[in-house]
Amino acid sequence: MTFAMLEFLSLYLLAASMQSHRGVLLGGWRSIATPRATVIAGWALLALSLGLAVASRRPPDIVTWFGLLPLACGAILLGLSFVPHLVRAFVVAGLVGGLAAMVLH
Amino acid sequence: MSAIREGTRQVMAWLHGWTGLALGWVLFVMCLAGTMSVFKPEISRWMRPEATASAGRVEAIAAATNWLATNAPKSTGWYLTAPDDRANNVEATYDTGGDYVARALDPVSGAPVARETLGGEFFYRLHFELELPYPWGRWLASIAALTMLTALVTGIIAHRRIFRDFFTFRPSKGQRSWLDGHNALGVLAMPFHLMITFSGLLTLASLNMPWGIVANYGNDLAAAYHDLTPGAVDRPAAGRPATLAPIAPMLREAERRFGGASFSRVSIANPGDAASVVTVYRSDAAQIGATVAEVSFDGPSGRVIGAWAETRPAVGTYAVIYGLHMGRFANGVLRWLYFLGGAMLTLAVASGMILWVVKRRERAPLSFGNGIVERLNVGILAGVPIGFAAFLCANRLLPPGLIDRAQLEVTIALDAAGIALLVALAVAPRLGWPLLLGVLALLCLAAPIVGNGLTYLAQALARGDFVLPVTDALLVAVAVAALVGVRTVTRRRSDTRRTMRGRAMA
Amino acid sequence: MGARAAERRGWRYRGNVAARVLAGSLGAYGVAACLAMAVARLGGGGRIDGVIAGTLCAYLVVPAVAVWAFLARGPWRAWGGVAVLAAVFAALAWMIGPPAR
Repeated sequence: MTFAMLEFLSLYLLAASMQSHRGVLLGGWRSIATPRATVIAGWALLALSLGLAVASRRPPDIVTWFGLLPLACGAILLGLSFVPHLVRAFVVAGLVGGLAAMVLH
Repeated sequence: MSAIREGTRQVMAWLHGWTGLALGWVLFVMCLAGTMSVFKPEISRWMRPEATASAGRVEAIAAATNWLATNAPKSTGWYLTAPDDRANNVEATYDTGGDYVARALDPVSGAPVARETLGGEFFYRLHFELELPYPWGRWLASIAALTMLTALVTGIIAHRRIFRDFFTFRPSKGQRSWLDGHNALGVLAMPFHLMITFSGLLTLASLNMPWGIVANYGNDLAAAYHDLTPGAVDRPAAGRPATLAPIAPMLREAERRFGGASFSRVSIANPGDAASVVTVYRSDAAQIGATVAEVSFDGPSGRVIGAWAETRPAVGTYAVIYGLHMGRFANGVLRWLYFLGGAMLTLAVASGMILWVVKRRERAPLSFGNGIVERLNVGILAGVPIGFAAFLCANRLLPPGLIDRAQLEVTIALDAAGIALLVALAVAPRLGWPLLLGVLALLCLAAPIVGNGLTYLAQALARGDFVLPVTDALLVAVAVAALVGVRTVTRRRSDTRRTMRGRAMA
Repeated sequence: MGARAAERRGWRYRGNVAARVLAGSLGAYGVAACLAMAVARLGGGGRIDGVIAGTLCAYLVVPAVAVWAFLARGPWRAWGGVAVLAAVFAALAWMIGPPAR
């Protein structure tokens, strides 16, 4: 669960680092979240999520990590294409929901 | 300078297009059937809605072998798959003097289930045999897979801005949109596409790349198979009859040797013979590697004559790659992610075929050849799903007791797809698309309803079985998608006509 | 543009394409088969371990040779590369000889 959330967040950040999507995805955070910072943060979190998947010592988790890539990227892609103003809200809501589920479980 | 095109990317793009076109339709069938096969046991349950009896693995196999001992005693082999958390029947392949038949056996009585159908096995077999006789179907599938591998590699090399375009999709812009969609479907799931293609080739390796075996074993194929699964004993029939020892103790002994892990497949070679062999294979569901342990028993006595648990790195690697393709270890979310990957690959192939036509149509009126390609696109991209939906409807509509019912379902599926293809070749695509997509929507809406479908659905909900409701929901979703497709195609036509009329009047 | 289109319908061009297609398909498969044999015999470990290594390498080499067949400077070069690779791998397999037992 943790690595899944990290994966989504990291890919969102990588998308946000791109010039064409920065405005929509980062909004007011643009000044703090420079392209360089978001790219580094994105890749770092992606590596961390993969590390967590490997560290779980359950081989299917690594397969799941790869399987989540198209889901996360596809969701971001479709969001950007059809409801760009909602993508940031969805990512925040997803993170909050995921954290809540982990805490309550 | 005799390059095909100027520049590496242009050559790769050219090659990508032609390799895609050459076997694209075959690959579409393989990818769609393969994607459906992710849910093979669930589809089989949908197609045998009354067969709800359940029993433990050992009891079910024992019941099956008892029935087979009376009804298929002279068979050269019984190949059984035990029930598990996804399937409640025993899947059995055996021969009664002639060709091998595949039946689902009731786990309590051992007798074939009333509704004779291939179930999900139809999609699984279609996926790598393409309804062609052995070995031609598997050869075609292998060639298609090699072509797919080349198409993936050339696509990657040709894609200029693969990272910058990663999150790009511009809808409603004609060729641009189809290209964006095709790229997204291909790139976003690239690890899956490469894995599934490569691993798929390996599953057919004994047919399409046997040269390693030839180099190291010469003609001795039996030795190669023995080295691959040393616990499986293969010996000729003795020619003397003998009764098979009770199978339950053998199964329990095998599970003991598997360290408590379940078994899944049981093969009984020459069951009525004094030299019969019972081989029990460990389940694929508990680990990624497929076929990682097996135990063989002497049939008449129940004595262990072979046992193996895989520890060799090379064979273990083979088992893992094989297991990654079969995906039997994947459950819950991961199984749906496999389905997503397969669906994206299927749509990538389909969008590529459509892109071929759209790209050329935007430049100039289509040549005769490309006009045929356009019509074949309609016939196959819409016709094959029509065949699948017809298969499901036939399953519900054909009376359970019919002779050769399973084969009839398949015939109806193939005929429906064939008719759709002929219609698509005969009429203009602007009529063909909405017509065939409409038929697809109708069949997908009919399948959950016809032949007491709603009764089965109610019964399933009552006993908390979610396979039927979820499958029915997916069928409705496909129908809705097809109807959206109809609307998109017809609306674009009227838009273009309005613009052209406006231009004519100005 | 018209000249290039005409050149693409000429027999020289078609011959070029056809030769490369054969090199990239049958030729690539031939190279793969020879590589499978060479690696199978090379492989340390048991006979079946080598076979598995060889088969995996063979599948990797097919798209590589196909790409080469179309990026090579001309159809003769394409076939030349294919023939050399196949010959080298086949010779390697032959020289190593069948494994013991």
